[in-house]
Amino acid sequence: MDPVDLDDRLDRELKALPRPRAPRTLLPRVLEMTVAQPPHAAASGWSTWPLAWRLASIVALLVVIGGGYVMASAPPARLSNAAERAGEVATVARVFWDVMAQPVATYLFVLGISLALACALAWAALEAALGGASHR
Amino acid sequence: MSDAARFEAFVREYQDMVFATAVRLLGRESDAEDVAQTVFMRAYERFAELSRSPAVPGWLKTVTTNLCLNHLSRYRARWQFFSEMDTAPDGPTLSDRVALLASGPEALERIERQERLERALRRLPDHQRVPLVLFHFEEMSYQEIADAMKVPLSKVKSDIHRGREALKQDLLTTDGSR
Repeated sequence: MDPVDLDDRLDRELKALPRPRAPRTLLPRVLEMTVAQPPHAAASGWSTWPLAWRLASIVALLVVIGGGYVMASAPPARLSNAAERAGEVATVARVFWDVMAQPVATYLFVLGISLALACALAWAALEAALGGASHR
Repeated sequence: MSDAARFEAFVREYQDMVFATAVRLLGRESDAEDVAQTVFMRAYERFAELSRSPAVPGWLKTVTTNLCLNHLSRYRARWQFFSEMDTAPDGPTLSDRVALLASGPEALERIERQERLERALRRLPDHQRVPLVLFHFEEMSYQEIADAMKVPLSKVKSDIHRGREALKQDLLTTDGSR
């Protein structure tokens, strides 16, 4: 047979191939998984929430922003006391960091980086050894 | 209609399309079923958005293709030993064959020829079958295939050429055996 004819014929035969059908077990498997794992609301995004939820979330956001503005412009006495207390706690924490934690922090950081690097190298070696042959 | 019923209808509508893409890319039905299940679970996670989108078939095909390429690069080398055990496509059922026989021997012959070609396609090595399937069935360009498979364009061209040569050889063998 002429090579061009054979090429055309292969194209025709490939085009005419019927689509393989999914096995009957696929649908029950998928449905079983969906029962075991209901979708979480966050995955659907704010724009897909019901209108009432979206309105409520906007109102809640406005309340938070308004409250923050009122607090910032005229803080009540109790809030000032809490801020002072927070400042004291921050001072204690800073002293603790300077005296106890900072001297060993560098060593811990270097150790963490080294361990992460070693893990990454080991993983890459495993990938190369086990998964790299498919495109050869 | 409840969400569960809508999702079931969604899976029924697209399961053949997703499975067909997966089984031709992977060459094994059991792997293809696993990948198809993962594709539909991804679809389920964002079903609220997807069910309203007109781009659903394209999204499903892209996710299927990516998962298959991922699957091939990660797992195939480990399971190559078993790959010959599950390459035969499901042919028509007995009732289909009886109906075909009634419609004439030519129809049956055509089906057998198609089954043979499908088997030959699935027997091709991964590096030839995958670009060939993406080119012929998913209508991707050579450049898109090279990008998706992260291989040079020249390799895509030569692999598709070699795959086609093998399939043409199979066609000639079929003609010769008749």
